[in-house]
Amino acid sequence: MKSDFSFDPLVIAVWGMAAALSGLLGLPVWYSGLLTYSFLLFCPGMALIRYLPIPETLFRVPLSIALSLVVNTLVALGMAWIPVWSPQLAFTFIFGFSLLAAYSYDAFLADPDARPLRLLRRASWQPLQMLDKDHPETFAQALPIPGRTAARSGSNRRRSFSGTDRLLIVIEGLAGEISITDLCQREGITTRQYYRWKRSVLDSGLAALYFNRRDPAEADLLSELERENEQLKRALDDLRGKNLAVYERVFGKPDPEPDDPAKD
Amino acid sequence: MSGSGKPPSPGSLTLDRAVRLAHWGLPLLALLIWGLSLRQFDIRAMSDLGLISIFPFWQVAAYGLLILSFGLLFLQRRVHEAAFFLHCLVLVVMVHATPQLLYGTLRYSWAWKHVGLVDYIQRHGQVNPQIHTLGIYHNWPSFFALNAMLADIVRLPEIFTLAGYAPVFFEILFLMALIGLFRRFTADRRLQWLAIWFFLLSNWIAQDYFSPQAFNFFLYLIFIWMVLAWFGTGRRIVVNNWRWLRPARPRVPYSSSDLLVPISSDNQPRSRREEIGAAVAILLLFLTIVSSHQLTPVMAIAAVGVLVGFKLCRWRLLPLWMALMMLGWLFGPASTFNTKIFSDLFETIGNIFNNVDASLINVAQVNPDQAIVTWMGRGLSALMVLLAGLGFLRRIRRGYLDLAAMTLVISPLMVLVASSYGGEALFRVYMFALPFFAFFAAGLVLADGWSAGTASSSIVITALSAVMTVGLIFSYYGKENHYYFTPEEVEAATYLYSHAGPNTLLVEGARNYPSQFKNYEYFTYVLIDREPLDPEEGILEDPVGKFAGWLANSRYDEGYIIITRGQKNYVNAVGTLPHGALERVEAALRESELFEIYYANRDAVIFRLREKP
Repeated sequence: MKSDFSFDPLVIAVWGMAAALSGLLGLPVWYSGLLTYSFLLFCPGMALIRYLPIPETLFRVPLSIALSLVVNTLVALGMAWIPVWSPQLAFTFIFGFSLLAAYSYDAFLADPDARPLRLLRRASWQPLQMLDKDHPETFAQALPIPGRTAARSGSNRRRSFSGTDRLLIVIEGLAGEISITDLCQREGITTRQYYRWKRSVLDSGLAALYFNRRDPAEADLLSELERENEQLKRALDDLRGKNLAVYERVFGKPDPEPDDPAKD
Repeated sequence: MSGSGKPPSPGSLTLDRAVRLAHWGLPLLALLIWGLSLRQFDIRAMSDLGLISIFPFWQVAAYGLLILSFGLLFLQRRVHEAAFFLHCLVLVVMVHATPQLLYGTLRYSWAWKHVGLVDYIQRHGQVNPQIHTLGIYHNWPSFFALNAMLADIVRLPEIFTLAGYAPVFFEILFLMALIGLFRRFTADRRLQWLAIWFFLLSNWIAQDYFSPQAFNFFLYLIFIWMVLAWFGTGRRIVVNNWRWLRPARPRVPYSSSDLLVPISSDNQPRSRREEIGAAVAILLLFLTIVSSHQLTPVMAIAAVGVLVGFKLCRWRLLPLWMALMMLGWLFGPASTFNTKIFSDLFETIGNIFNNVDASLINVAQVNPDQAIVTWMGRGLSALMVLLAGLGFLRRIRRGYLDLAAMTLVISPLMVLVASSYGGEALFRVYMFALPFFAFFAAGLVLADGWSAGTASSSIVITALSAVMTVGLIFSYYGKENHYYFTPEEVEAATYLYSHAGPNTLLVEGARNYPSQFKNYEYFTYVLIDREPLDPEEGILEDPVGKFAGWLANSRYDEGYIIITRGQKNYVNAVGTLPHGALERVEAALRESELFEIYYANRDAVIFRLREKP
């Protein structure tokens, strides 16, 4: 799956080098221990987590720790069973593995068009939210609507949505069980896009009611056609006005039409 | 909804700001009071009631303030989730950092033993599955190998301090894992945080020390999250069809029927590659669990089996793969132990009452203080089970059938059918079911989803938290009088384990002292409190003659007897020997001509034969 560019390989490289250097330079155990332990506790998992379905932002930390513990444990177990007990070799292996895993993802699987700024823009920086009784969406997430195509999240965002999907997204937003921001983030759309769809649905309420026994996609299409029709009418009026102005300038004011002889 | 449309007055704005400040300030104030009052503990004055017997007033005040502050969070219309997180974090630090900060030495003799396993791997660079003493740990060695590797990489001179803070570390990991796990069950954030809070307040089992079970409990929670998030079906049942459980009123606004709160499908794999990645991660995590603990794989298989049975997990062959991995480990690397495990299993399988009974301490045998501690633990467990049961029913009445949480409560019970697990089965069942008990208990108070947050729910939460805290402090700290080891005891044990050579006979009053943490394979251990105490054996009647005979045995190059303060406290509190027996043995040895004192200080004494034949 394509995903955004990330700083992970850089972070892992710097963190791992700092940990290794702190040991080589003979820094006090407190400093080198903190650096090395934290590297081993976070970095292997940080590299691996990118290959997995993306969890909630807040859950990435414990998941990274768990995966790091798995990597470290399996390496330690291997050394104890073979047995080739070499902690320095183990650290080098874990460091190299983490770096390779993170770099491989960026090199072969990540979206080449992605840029760091996009990542910053898209990342959810609010893993812990403000809970507000006046906004119940923070108290409940959306229920999956039966028949709805699978919701998308994170990096796997759709470029186009069917009329049914648009309608269901709007309904989900109207239900108020999920915040509009979260809904839009999950679906990979902008809030402006959402509100445009919402306006369309609400504006064409009559048509939607009329067609409520039909495919919602049809109602959606009808509302779009009506809106397009209105726009065309306005454009036609505008053109007519301009046309009249040009005619008057070239030919002068047109003569009044001759009276109908039948009136005489 | 507010909907008044009136602009807030400056006074209400100030009040609002003050309340928001209190969300952060009160828990930090509680932490400050707790930290400052640590100096008021007099450890030497501790009785058999444990730390509660020396609790200073300001410690009680700190807990009270924290509980009150947490209850107040449920009164507010607007409260940031981070405030809940802060309260939980402060609670973890207050409860679990206290012993280590007070003692300065590693508490609990089993933690010392686990350090000994790490020491063995550090010295030998391998494990020895055939070893006689503590052989079971060599057959499930992952946790110890991991810590040995980490300590060697960092070149730590000793890991006692690190091991001492393991409860804080593991409880924070549990807390973080539960945040994700509870989001699988409900979208109500307040309910999630209350469930975590209740979990922290009722986790008195104390399996969070430096041990494979704490490590594996964290991995278990993550494992369940992975299965539910990546392979969960989000199956729903229409409660409305069950007449006897017809919901009181529907809470889900736009559903045509009264549906349960769904397991969100946001984390499902989106491609074949992601699905394979998820499957590999799950299996590797399970391999880590299989190679580091005996019980957790069984719990995980039971949990996934029940989830598959209820059609909550779409990877139907997962339990089979897991069972194969576990059997592979049993008949491969752990083959030394499979005969013993299977014979134990065949002895205890199906005997639920015996398995439960084996887990319960005989209250008549322990001293009155320990009886109170025991009953407090049982009471807290019973309270949680009761609240969970009522919460389960109340949530159904409100239209939520939490099928996944329900199955995860049930699945650990299967272990009770299978084994007594060395007399610990009931405690382990409670521990593995506790997160889900806590979820239902929270559901009892906040069953109404976002309509919750009234004064009544706030009062109920505060009151329940206070009751649970009392239960926790009694039951979690209740054995501290024998879990605590003085620096003198540590010095004596260090001297013994550093100076004794291979092939040494070591007679211990009881295992409750800093034992087996260094060169542990040099020794053959004999525990006085586990020897037959018939008069004809003569251990208590003629300890000098008996022990002189043992230590004179030519099979051993050296022989020692160690008696410490922790051993005496333990046998007197738990009643494994008649009250004062170890004191009498020590007095007899001190007066004997046959023995000399090899090492002694205020809290420990080590004897050896004056002349070995």
